[in-house]
Amino acid sequence: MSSAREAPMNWSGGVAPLGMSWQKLMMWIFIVTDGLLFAGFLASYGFARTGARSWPNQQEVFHLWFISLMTFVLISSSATMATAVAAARVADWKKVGNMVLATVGGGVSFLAMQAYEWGGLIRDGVTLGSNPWNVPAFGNFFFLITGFHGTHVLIGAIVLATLATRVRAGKTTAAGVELAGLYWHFVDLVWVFVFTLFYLI
Amino acid sequence: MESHESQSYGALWKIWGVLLALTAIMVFVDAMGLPRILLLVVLISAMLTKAFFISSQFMDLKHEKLVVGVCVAFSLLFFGAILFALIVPDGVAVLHGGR
Amino acid sequence: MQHQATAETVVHEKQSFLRRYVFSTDHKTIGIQYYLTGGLMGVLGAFLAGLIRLQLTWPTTQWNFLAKIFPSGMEGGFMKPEFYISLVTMHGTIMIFFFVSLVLVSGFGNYLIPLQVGARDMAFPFLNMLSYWTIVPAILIAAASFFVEGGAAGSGWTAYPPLSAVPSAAPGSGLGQTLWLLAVALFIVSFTMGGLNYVTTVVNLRAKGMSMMRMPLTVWSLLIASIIGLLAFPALTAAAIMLLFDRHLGTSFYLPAGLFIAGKLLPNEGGSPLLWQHLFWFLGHPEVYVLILPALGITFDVLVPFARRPAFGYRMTVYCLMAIAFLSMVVWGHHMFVSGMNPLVGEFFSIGTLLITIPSTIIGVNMIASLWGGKLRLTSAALFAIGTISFFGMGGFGGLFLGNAAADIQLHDTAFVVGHFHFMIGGVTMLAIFSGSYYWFPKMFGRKLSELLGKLHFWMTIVPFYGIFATMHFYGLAGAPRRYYNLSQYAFLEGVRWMPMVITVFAFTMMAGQILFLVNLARSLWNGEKAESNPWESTTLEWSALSPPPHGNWGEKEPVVYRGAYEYGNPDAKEDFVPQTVPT
Repeated sequence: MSSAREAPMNWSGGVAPLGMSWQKLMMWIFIVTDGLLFAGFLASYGFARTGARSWPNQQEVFHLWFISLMTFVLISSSATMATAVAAARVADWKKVGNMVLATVGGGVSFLAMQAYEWGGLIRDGVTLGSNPWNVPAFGNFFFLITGFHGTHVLIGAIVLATLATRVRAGKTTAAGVELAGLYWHFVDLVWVFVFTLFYLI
Repeated sequence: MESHESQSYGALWKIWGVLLALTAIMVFVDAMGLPRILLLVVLISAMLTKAFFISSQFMDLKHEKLVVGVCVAFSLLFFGAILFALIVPDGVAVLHGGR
Repeated sequence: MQHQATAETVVHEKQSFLRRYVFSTDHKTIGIQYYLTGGLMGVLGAFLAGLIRLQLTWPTTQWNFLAKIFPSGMEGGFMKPEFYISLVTMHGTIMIFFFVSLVLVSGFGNYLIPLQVGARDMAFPFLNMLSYWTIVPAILIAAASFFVEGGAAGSGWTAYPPLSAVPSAAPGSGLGQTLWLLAVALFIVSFTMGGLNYVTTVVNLRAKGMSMMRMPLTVWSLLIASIIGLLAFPALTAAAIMLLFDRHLGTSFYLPAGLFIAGKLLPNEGGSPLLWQHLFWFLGHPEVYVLILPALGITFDVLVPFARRPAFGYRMTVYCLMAIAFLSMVVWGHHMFVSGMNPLVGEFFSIGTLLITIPSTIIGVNMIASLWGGKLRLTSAALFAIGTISFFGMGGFGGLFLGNAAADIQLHDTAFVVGHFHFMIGGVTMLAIFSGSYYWFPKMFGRKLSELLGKLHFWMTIVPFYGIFATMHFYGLAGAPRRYYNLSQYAFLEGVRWMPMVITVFAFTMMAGQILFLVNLARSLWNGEKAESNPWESTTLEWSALSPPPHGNWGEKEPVVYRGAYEYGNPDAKEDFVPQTVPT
């Protein structure tokens, strides 16, 4: 028995019912899975934190002005990336190339600052096994979460650097720039959660 | 491929300004020494607002079909929250019972 | 991405043997690769089960020939306890990840989805090829783990810390456990790549006229299973990463203070094994639904053509599949009722678990009703599909007891649980694999399977299966624990000493019966009778393609769909069925 109601036009096959190409849909689904990976880490951190007798005071452990600066850099790189995507849509390829390079610069700066922060904390005695406040979970989750986030930033920077060379060679489309942009904004989005939940709360 | 009207560059950098302002507010509030619950409410609200701006404006979700944004937000927020909410009682029990 | 062969461009140039059969990007070839690889792993998993049965039935017998194959695990012909637990671990891991998931989700999924929605291939064929070639190293690593120092992983497929988190804890906690984690990590990567393809293909690449509510239930079930898999696996990825850190980098995600292992006080503190349990089961529970939902979908696709009447309650079944999928993501705690959890949280999980019975029962009833009043054609495929309904019901009964938190305190970690889940992820899925095999073999290989061998195979599977796993329920009710290597030493099991023997006799009978299937496959592949496009007179799209379909599936013109998936017994139709491609 065929369905009594005619299916609405955009779900009848032969079209993209969610209004996006399969490439963009796939990127969004990937972003959700990667986001859930970080959600797993953050939920575990929440579990450990609620179960911990004490927790180091972030105001004292971190230089929050420095972390805020890192956040500023990453948010700015997201803005340059969004500008690149908008420029690609009007085929202003020179602007695209410049903005993508600016984004890469932002990403690399973020990583350098993260490495500097890590160095400082390690010098203060924070390792994977112990720290001066006797709360091993603090160091565990700090290095795990910021490490994984940093790895994602690094991968994004490499992808964007490659994209920049392809823009220069005239081999990209607006869709490709947008896909890379989605990944980069996702990395920024994760940082919003990590910054709040690990550094501030 | 779908076509969207391009965001004007100005609009994007306005969002940048809003995000920075929110970040600055969060850092100041954090140093104010508020009672715990109030601090959590303020910071998490600000965090979710920033997330909303990045996803809807930078990632262009506001120009996509509504169902996409709803599915993405639901998947991440609901399952993240439920995972957290249902394992926290065990975390608290560890604190009190030392399992 | 612009230069890949995508579903929109069909590549017709001549390809080398390697590109065509080994590193193929054609979903049909990849599906068959998965099917055969998974089948091979199923045989390995069955071999491990045989060893487990030998130990449980005759724990004091000396097996000299086995000592030759496993010199360290079966030293002197007697099974060491650590070898037993690694057998149990690898049997579970291989069967779940590398047999059922590979054959049912990856094998049938890859083969059928583009054909049943009317696409030329998956959305991203290159990624699809990568997903298969990620599984191959995963399997090699899992197999290699048997031969490293300490042997294969020995903490159950559930890998609970501290046993899995401390390399010195037991022989199976060493390199074998690390390799296990790597194999599972690669599996997750492969599954994710496949899942991305499945969802985008079903959403974006359906042929014109193939609305969502005209899709076969196989596609619906695979779509929904992919979605929950994609949502649930990241938690296990996170958990596995933290476990690797605990094992090798000195962290304490799962390790509390005060652990004494191998005579030494461990320096760790601040972690909790409960965290692993929560994260693992957050994946672990949806995982079993990832396995069973496609089995249910395939069962419908097989039952309906052999009943020559429309599927009963198609729309309701779709909604029930969605309901089961959603509920499955919020009930993981029912694996942890004995962990000492807060009783209120336990009640939440218990109620959620028991709620799943409702859509599950509706689906089971819809299956039976899909046979009601039909003109039954009891082919081998149909018999296996009917058997699936039986196993699903039987497994569900056991689930009712286990879902009740109070009853579970008694039944947890007994053979009752083993009986229950084998009915579901061993029985329902295995029968669906067989019914799907008998049904789609002509499409995949252009030849027919022997019906006589198929029917013999059916009876030699279903009867012994009941003998094994129904008995196991009672064995568990009597108190027999699972994962113990020698139950003959406990006086309280005196009255049920005969049960393991009965189980083993049925088990070896069933294993022998599977040889019929292998012989059937081999004979038909070699010189079986050729099959036409639509030997079963079915309506779904794959049957309007050639047997087997060419590269690109549909030749010059892509199909257009005019009607639903199950138009059988239509009184206005010329024959007793109307394919989906026939205009109204």
